[in-house]
Amino acid sequence: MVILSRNTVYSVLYLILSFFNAAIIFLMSNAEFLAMTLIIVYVGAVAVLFLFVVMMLNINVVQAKEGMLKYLPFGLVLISILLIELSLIFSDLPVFPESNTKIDISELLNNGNSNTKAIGLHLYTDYFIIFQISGFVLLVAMLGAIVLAYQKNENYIKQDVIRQLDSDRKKAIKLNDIKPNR
Amino acid sequence: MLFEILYIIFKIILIILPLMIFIAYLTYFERRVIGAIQLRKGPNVVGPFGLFQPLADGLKLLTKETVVPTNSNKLIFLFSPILTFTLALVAWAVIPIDYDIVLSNINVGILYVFAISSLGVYGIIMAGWSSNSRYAFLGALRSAAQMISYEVSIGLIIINILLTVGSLNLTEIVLAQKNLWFFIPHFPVFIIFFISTLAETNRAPFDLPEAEAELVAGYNVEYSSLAFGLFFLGEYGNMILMSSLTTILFLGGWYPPFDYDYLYIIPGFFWFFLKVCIILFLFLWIRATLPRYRYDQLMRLGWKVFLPISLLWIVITSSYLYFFEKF
Repeated sequence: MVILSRNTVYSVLYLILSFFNAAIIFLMSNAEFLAMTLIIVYVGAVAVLFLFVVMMLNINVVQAKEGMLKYLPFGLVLISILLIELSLIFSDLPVFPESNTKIDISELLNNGNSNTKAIGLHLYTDYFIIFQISGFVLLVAMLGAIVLAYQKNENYIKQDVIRQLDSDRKKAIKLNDIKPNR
Repeated sequence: MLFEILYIIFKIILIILPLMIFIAYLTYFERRVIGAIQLRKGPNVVGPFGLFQPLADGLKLLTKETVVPTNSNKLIFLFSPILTFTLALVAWAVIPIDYDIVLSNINVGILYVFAISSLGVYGIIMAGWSSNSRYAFLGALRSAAQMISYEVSIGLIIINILLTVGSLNLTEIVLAQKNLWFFIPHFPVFIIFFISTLAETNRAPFDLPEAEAELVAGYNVEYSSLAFGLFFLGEYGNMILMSSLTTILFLGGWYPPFDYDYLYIIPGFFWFFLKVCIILFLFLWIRATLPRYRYDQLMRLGWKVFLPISLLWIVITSSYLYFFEKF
């Protein structure tokens, strides 16, 4: 539905719905921390920005329709590759194991700990360098965005809050002694 | 199985009904308090001391006609007030009013509340967009930008509390405050948290989304009757939710102010209620006293003042815990 609906705002709303579904899949596999972070980060921040951009741009509906058939074969190829991969993965495993249908992530990661703690332990010990590098990648992306968007404008008047608060009556008003009739 | 479901539904009603009454009387309380501050009388005609005023207001809203603008996107237009109201109620599932008096005591309670409150933006954006009106749209954009910015500092402040408690469970957060309420060691961030909740609930002095002078009434201009009522209830519900969150995080939840035995005779939910009322009174007091912020000042306060301070406070908290408490 994300790609099929004609209205772009509907598409974003369906995207949010699919984020929710992903979060619920996490919840069903007992990873409540991941589910909540997924909702906070993707639905609470990323999708809001998407929605902003989509609402601001008035995208022409007729133009959006035209590209549909052109990309259809490419999409079909991608879908078939994904389906084949998925079937390969699941062909080895029984699809519904009789004893335990849920994959208990917290037990897989660390026995006895809550999964929040387990994620923290793994992230800051085993995957510490990767974690730091991903942080740096985000920082670089952020700086790059700022550099790209920043334009120096001479006409831009900036407000200096400290200067504003600092001014008082003596500085703002100057009494000039004008001598009349001269 | 059926009995369990019925029991849960009973508990849900037990939470929602008092909450609705609380919301209704919060509006009455607000008008009375602001009236008193401005040397007016406030509503005092309907019933003794005007106590039936909220009921009269509610009936009036119910009996009015729901106007749906012709050019609006009807589905989203009608869905967004429902969403706002539902989200304001749903978060109450994890709020512990007293020890073990909570609908579901989940492990990641605080994250759940945070996620729900970050979803609150959608009700507003969708309302603003679907009404197909410029005022509503501008109001929605402002409100969304404001809520996102202040959510950042709220999240960082919550991290401080989590570091000191070492748990995401709301009940455990309160239990950790038996001897020392967190607003004493975390005083600067307590202030910042309170101000951020004001911005998060779109209350004065941060009520730019509904700046009457510029935007008529913000994102809910086009709404009437029950749809407007739901927005209204959602907003006040969010206020109560945020104040109870402040109570849980900083003011020791259901614990009495001093650790004397005779103070424990009074049940915990009474203390909880009292603290929530005090914070709500602060909300109203601020609304009656302070003028509205300008938009750039609001953004500057959020990103340039609150964000660095709360980041710094995380560094201070974690270093203290590391060096002195040997975490």
